[in-house]
Amino acid sequence: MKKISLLILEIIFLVFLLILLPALLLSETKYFFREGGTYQIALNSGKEYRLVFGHPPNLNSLSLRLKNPLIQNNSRIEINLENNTQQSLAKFVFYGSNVGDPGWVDFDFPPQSGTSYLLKLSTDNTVPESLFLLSDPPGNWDLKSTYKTTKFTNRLNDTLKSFLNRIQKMDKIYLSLYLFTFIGLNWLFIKK
Amino acid sequence: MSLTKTIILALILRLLVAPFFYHPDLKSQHFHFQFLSHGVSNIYQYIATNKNSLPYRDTFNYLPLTYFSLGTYHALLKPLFPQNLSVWLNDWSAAQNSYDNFPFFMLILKLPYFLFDLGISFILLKLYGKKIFYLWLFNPLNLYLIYILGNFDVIPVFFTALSWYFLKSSPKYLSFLTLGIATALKLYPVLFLPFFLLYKPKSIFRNLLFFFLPPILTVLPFVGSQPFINSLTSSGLSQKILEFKIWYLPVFPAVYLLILSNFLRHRHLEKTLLHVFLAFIVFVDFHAQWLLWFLPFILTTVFKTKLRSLIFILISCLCLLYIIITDDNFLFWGHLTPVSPAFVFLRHPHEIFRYRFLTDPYLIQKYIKILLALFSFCLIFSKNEKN
Repeated sequence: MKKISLLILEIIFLVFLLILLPALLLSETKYFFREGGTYQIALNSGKEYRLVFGHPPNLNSLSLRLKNPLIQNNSRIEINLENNTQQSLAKFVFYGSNVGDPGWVDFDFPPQSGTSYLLKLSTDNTVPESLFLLSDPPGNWDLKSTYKTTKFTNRLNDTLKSFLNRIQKMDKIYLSLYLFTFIGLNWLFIKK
Repeated sequence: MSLTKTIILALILRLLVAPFFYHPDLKSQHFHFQFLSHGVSNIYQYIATNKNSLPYRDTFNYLPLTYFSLGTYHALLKPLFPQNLSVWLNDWSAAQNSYDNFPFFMLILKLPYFLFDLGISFILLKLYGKKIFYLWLFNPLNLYLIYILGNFDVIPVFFTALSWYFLKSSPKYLSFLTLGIATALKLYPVLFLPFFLLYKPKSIFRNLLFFFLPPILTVLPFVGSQPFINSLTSSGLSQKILEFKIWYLPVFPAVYLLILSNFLRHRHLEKTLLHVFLAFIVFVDFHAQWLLWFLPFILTTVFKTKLRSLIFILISCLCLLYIIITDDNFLFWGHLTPVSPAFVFLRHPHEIFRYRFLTDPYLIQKYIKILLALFSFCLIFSKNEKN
């Protein structure tokens, strides 16, 4: 009986580690991870910088990469997130001293139900070539985003699906060898 | 429980842990080891020459024997590697943690550790009996240091333990030859050398000769290579040992000398190495895997009485806390990358302390060091014998 309970304990550990723990902790999923842009868009007053993007529902964070060379510029920067009907969803105001050389600036907000967005950036900077937004040469801003899965049951379902999907894509020989060794050792332990 | 059953249980436990935990050191080391199978014999020069074209540009900071031994393992097992392991080793992009076979990468790269880990357990069984054997195999701290951190330190630790075994039972030259092999893999066994030499101070020069044989033989071909010299002189251990100073005097070396002079009075190696270990965790800004160096020697002393065991468990927990509040997510959630790459993006304890509790984690680390010093005193002065 004790020997069988060891096997149950092992299965509980694996289920906890591989399914329950990710479902419990990973409520945010990364969507955009666009980095590495070397192109710099100079930010100046009197101009509005716009980015239109589509996203899965429950978008809850965005990060932009800005550059303030030597952290000398302390201009006001305003970011406005709007939906496709140009209704404001979230607004952020910060200053140049909060920007790295370069650095990601994170914006967290409650999950949004829409799937298409407009991001507007404006500044009162009057010193040319002193504050930048990083992007790739065609002008796609460096962008990170996450969306939230709030309900635990949905997360559990997602984790289970991705786990089964992953198992199917795994190296079959190694998977069989691992399971064979694992079951074999347990069988030996029970038998002895 | 019989010996066979204990080993089976230990293997099951290791099979449950090894595939699902990761630290990037394992990848960076094997990134370098793979070059042996490409015919590169001077890895230090190769990196210096090709730095700009390599996907990972850090230098190789280990000794030549490490490169040749683990490089040979890498080369021999390459045909049996899981799909994409070689691709993953050379992938340092944002997608590097999203490989479906990640758990198997971990398993195959950590496989040699099973052998050395079990090897240490058998040495401890011979030296100290079943209690320490069980403590080694089922101690969570060991499992963390060997299979979660995944560093190769278990290999030199095996040779150091073997050296201690030979010192107690065999012709002494074998002991010093083995300690020399450990030193040729990683420099830290030099810390143990004076104690081993003075344990039974006979034929010191002959023993020194055997000790220096493996490091000299393996290092000699590289002495003329400047990148190798640079790598050797930038050793993290030597810098960290000298880091903490009072009035320009490095504290750890001073305490080490005091412990050595005390050792000459009683020549009790396990007790002395416990003192070195305690001085090390208090005065050196240690890396997590360095804790493993002392464990085979100190288990017998720390688990002698219930009180000592309790103090040691507290010390271990404090050491773990010290490690996990380091500003490195791969020392906490990042370990779970093989389960899901999204764990890397969770807030780790350092960030939680800093941004949620507005507390400086480095200050907490200093408080932990003070507590470690306090508990170390308790451990040293607690009763050594069973009531």
